[in-house]
Amino acid sequence: MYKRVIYTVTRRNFLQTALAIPLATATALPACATATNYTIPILQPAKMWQILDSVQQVLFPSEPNIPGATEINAINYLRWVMSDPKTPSTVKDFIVQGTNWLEDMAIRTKQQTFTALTLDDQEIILHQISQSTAGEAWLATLLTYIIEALLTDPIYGGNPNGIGWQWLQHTPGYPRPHDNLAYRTLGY
Amino acid sequence: MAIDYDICIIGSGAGGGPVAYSLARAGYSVLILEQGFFPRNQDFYKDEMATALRKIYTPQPQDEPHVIEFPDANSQWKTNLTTKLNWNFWNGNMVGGSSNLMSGFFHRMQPQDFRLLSEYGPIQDANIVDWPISYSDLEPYYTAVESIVGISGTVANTTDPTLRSTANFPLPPTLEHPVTNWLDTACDQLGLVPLKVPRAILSRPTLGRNSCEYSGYCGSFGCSSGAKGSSRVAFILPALATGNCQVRPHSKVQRLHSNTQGKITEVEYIDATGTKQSVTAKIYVIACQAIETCRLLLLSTGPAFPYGLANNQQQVGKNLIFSGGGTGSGKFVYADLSPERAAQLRVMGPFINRALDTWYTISDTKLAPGRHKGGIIEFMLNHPNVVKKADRVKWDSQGKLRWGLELKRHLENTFTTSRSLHFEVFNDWLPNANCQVILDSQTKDRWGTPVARVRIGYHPWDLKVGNFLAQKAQLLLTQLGAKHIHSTITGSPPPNLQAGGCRFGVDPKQSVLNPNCQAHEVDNLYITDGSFMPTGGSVPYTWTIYANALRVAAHIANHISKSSGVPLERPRLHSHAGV
Ligand SMILES: Cc1cc2nc3c(=O)[nH]c(=O)nc-3n(C[C@H](O)[C@H](O)[C@H](O)COP(=O)(O)OP(=O)(O)OC[C@H]3O[C@@H](n4cnc5c(N)ncnc54)[C@H](O)[C@@H]3O)c2cc1C
Ligand code: SF4
Repeated sequence: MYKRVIYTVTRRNFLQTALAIPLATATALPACATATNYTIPILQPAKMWQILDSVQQVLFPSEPNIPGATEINAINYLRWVMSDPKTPSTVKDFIVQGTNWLEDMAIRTKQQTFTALTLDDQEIILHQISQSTAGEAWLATLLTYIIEALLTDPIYGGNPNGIGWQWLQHTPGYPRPHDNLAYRTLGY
Repeated sequence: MAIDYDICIIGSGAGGGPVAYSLARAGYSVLILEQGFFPRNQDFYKDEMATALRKIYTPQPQDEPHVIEFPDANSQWKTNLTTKLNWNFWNGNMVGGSSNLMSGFFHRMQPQDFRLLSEYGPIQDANIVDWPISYSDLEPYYTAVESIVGISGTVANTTDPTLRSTANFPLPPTLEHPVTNWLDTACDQLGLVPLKVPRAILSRPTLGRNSCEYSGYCGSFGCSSGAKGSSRVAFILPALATGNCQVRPHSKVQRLHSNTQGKITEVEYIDATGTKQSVTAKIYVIACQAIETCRLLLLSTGPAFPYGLANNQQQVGKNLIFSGGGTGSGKFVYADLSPERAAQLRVMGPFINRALDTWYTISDTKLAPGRHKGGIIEFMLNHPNVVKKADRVKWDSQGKLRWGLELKRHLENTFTTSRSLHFEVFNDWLPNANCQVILDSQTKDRWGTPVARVRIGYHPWDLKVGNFLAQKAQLLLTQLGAKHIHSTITGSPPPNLQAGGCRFGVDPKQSVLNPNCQAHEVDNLYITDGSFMPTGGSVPYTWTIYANALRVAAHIANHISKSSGVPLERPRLHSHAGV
């Protein structure tokens, strides 16, 4: 049946999603960002994308002969996700808000923009934000889209020439989608 | 007033297609209203994005949610929207319904499934009843489905010959994966006889359709070759070819109107442009899948039906059932295998096609003294979708997030060092008072219509039987040398295997439909999806839904010919069968 397998997993995921990754709590600030009388600056889009790019490199680093965020075009893929009408607006808002929080934290704790920090300091800050439920949820959301960039069909902008499939020895099915028309125009 | 069609069918899936097929071929004018789009074979790709990661074959959850009432760990009822639960009770909304996406494991129910109560006795707090028809009433239609859909398989020597009216399946089995031999050997060593599972998949080109392409991506994907026997390719396209059938996709039925005499007068639906439309027919057939069929009846109040159409006895929505059981798996590590076996394990494409039905009836005191209804265990390789599987790797066993090189090493380990053999346990989901559909008093869909509120309570006995079967499956995996063997039997329902909610029966106080699946209270209404089933057997439902819908179609033809006084001078169903 197969579906049952997916379904069972979904149910387990549901617990994780509903309890450990509460996107619905997107408005709850990470513990580290709850200083009173302080307004978190809103980033310019270009800056936001630079920060997201840096975060992706920490979350999924490149290695010799093994693809990382750069090789799988994770940032382009994320741009597609953020422009896709099928991505819930709560998720889009959450990604934007989280980036603002992260930058705020970098400036307050390290007095530098996140992108200027050393890799070690970036890692430290990501670990700090992962201690709060919302911070962990934000990282989990970015990781989900990195994994999508790694393993979805190249027509969606990640996984160029099936580089992610080759790394994980995955055989795609056929026929493969030859453009993302079906996704965009058919069905719901 | 002129009537537009002889028959109007709402929902084009497994329950709707066979009715259209039979009646259009018999010369009646048939209209199918389907809320989803009309896919062609070439619209289907093996694309995890479209099938699993985003929703294109089911409505966006926020547009058409369900409200689910489920028991929490302390057996307290919790209520939440499917949008919040990340759970989907829609399964495939397009012409052909969810049958487009099925895996096509095809099983007939067995004779004892039709008389669960008299065969195995009552169980406290379970609303078990016998069916008002027997296996032999349905057998000719099971056989007709074999030819019309094109079922491939081998009849086992052990099969009771009285259960089949033909000697063989019309098509030889589909190609089998090398691991099938491993399973057969392990079964032999344990003294078990595996069941060779028939498939609703063409093993050679016929019926104007291509044969299977064996890409290893089947269940939850649409079929681009046409080999999979969906309602769309097997029934609806041939129905359209008669010129007597019309399909209106993107037509969401909102309600059926009825008069003071309790007859349906018209169907109201919203078309692709969002415009309200209506249509009339002599006979109306609902086949929207169990939950939505119940919802549509409950929404369709009228002067003779204050509680919803055909619901004066308040039976609509009661005794909803799913399939009981769960899943399990065992892992084979490539490095532990000979190069030859490792290569066999890596093969993508052909099917395992093996199940165990040894414990369809259980007489084992380890479960309980006496004879009890059991079920089947179906075996399959891991589902090929990778993204969701990889996404789970980001959580460690403590529920902490992994990233960086740690995540990458875990991904490599998960995907490149081993492959899993899975099993699914199917046992009866006992009908009970805590599994039902009502209308939610607050939540509305995007058209402002109340959504279904589904209570998904299970009977604890289901878990006992499921666990008994899972233990047997685990023994087989142990014999095969698998590692990390585990199983999960739960009371959470698989939303793709829904039935019940409009049971058929002889007593109008205890059932919604009569034995012909005509509403007791509404002369011109039939229901042909799985919602007629008072108990579900312990196999997936689709072959039974197809067969029953053909059976009901024959009654509808008689009904129309009788009421119009026209003798039935139309070709009979079986003359059309034949591959
Ligand atoms: C991934 C997957 C794997 C499966 N594998 C198997 C298998 O191996 N073996 C097996 O036997 N079964 C399998 N099934 C189950 C099988 O698909 C169902 O049993 C069968 O399709 C149910 O038939 P149905 O007519 O009740 O519903 P469906 O086939 O879902 O049809 C219902 C139709 O009604 C339409 N509809 C609903 N409401 C309205 C409305 N208000 N107006 C207009 N149209 C409406 C829907 O859009 C849909 O197209 C699987 C299902 C899935 C999803
Ligand atoms: S071609 Fe075969 S494997 Fe692919 S979807 Fe169709 S039936 Fe399934």
